[in-house]
Amino acid sequence: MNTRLRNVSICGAVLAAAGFAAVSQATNYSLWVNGRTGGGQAGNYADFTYWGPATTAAGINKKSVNWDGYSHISDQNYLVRNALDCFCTGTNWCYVAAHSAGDLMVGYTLAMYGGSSRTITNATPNASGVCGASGAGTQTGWNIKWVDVAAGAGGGSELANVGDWATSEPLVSDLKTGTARALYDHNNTRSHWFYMWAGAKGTLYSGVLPGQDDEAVAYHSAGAVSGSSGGAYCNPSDWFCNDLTLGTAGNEGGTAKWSYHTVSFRDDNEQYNHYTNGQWQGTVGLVRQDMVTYAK
Amino acid sequence: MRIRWRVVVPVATVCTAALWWMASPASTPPAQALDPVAQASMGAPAPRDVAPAASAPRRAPFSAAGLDDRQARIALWQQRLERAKQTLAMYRAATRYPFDSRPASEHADQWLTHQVVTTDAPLRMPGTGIVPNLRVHTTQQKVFATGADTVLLTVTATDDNGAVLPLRVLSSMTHSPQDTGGGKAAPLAPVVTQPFVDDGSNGDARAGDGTFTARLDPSAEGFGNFAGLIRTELVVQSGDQQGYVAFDVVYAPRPPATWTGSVHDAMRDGSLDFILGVDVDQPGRYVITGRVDDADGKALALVTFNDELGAGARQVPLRVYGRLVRDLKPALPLTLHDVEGFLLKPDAYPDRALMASLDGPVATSRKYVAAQFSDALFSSDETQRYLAEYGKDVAQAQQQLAQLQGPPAKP
Repeated sequence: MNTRLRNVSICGAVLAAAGFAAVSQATNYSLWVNGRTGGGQAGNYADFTYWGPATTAAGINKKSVNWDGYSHISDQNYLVRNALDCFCTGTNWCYVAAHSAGDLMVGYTLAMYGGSSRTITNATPNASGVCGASGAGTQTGWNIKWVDVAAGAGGGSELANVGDWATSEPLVSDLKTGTARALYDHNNTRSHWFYMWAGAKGTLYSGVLPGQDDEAVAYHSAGAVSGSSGGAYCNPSDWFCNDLTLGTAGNEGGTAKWSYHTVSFRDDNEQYNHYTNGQWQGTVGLVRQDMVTYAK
Repeated sequence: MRIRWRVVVPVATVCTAALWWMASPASTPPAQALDPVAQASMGAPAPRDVAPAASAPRRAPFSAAGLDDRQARIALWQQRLERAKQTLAMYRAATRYPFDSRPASEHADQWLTHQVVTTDAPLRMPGTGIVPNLRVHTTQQKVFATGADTVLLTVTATDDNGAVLPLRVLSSMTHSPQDTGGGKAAPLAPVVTQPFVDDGSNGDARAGDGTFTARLDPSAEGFGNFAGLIRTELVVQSGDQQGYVAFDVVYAPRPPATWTGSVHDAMRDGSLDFILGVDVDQPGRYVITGRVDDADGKALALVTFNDELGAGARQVPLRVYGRLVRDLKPALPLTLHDVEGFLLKPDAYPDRALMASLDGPVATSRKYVAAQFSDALFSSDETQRYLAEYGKDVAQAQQQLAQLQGPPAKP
């Protein structure tokens, strides 16, 4: 063996050892779960097409958890579970950010599978976004510190009810207000907190979406108002409509928020709409800033 | 195996550089500065760790700008400490009871079963403008249905104040949308006309009140072997204005399991278990939820089972956790009522097949006294893992703050 080849072999062995050790080292990740329309390649955690430039800071070790944003929540849910298995088991922990229908996706995941047995993985995804077992066994649930939600569609959207969104689209059926709210127990987050950002710069569908809206979802959803149907909630400046309150407190009119949900931002100045525009815009921009600050 | 990082890291760095050098053609340009993502994934301080100074160069610690930087970093870590403390405290408080035995107050909107879904929207065709003072109100008895379940659907035209307006149903059709997503073939389903009536028959509450009603009966309308989304679409008219209405029902043709009728209770480890007999036809993960009231009819706990059940005769425990009883001091005995359950089908649509619900009182426990319930706080591997991690976050933030608030290092 010539000297150069021997050096390569030694270096390879050292790097392999370092890689093995890295697996057992605790790492925090920031997972971003998209909403309707999707756009990123499923299983490619580096593809931030849906959100904006991948070079933008968005929390520690950010990963884009892409799903098609078109099919039913239950059909695509494996992609989210794959990501959580990859990055949020063993000694690794996750911060989760979600947008729009990503809220429904994350809520569904925790309510249905939050207490299931998960294989502890090596945090090294293959091309499909699936990680291998680390050999450390299994654990109950995932390691999630908290969830940030921009323009959450966990409560559905009236645009799905009335046919303004393509009725042939499977996800639109899930996003009907009655269906989204019946899909799972939204209070069952396994005690993970959902921090909600609600935008109000909607004009186009103001007559269809009740109360304040960001042009896709109304405050009743983005503000995590509980119940089997939607309702009209507004900013304090609107005297003819019940206020969506900040924090966990009940709203004006007496309705409660889902448990473990808190409104972090209410768009009193009507400045933020629903859309990322591929540039981390809308309420997603505010959530991104929060992730930068707290997901460390 | 304990890795000697002080040795490994420099060697690995040198080796990586050497390998890169050996593999690189001579014309390869120098590597550019790594983006924040790459830096973070390599374990270097992430961008948020240098915020708000962000990418700005570090300033001399005793300069005005340096002191400003320091204050900003202190403020940032104070924020982080606050959230870390809050997260720890909230998790500790929340997990004093297990996840499957929760206070009723935490699940207020789950307390009423069979909640009717209502919508209220302008009466219009999709994508068209809005006619003032003309709305359409709908109700739907349930979203998920199985087997012989029927679903009442109603539609009413109203003005903005809720006064009923004349309405005509121009067309009403029940079918299954063809696009199921993910390239999956749509299951075969019939297309049927769905009669909406206002004559007091077939579930219509009152003849001539302006509310039109249909009773969707999937098994009798040709959907008996169909699993998926059943959509009933209407075009209605009030005055000159036409409008579109759609009801979606998610249907599974047969229940996956049946209740045997056997229910008993037992005190185990200081908690009360209601144990229900189930005959499982389709094995898999079952989600079963019940409500528990105290002797005065006061809502006490939402109890849940979410686990795998094999085929055949099984027993499902619904647990009222001892500490919850000790804390909330309900009047004993306790009554389990309104139990619902479904088979959860991962990565499928529909994602569930419902069992028949047990409506009303299901069982009342034997008479126990409060002292028989354990006052132990809940603890599990999962909660210990979380409490340790959240505690670590608090300690880390406190440490960072202490360093920042100490005397600035001399240049």
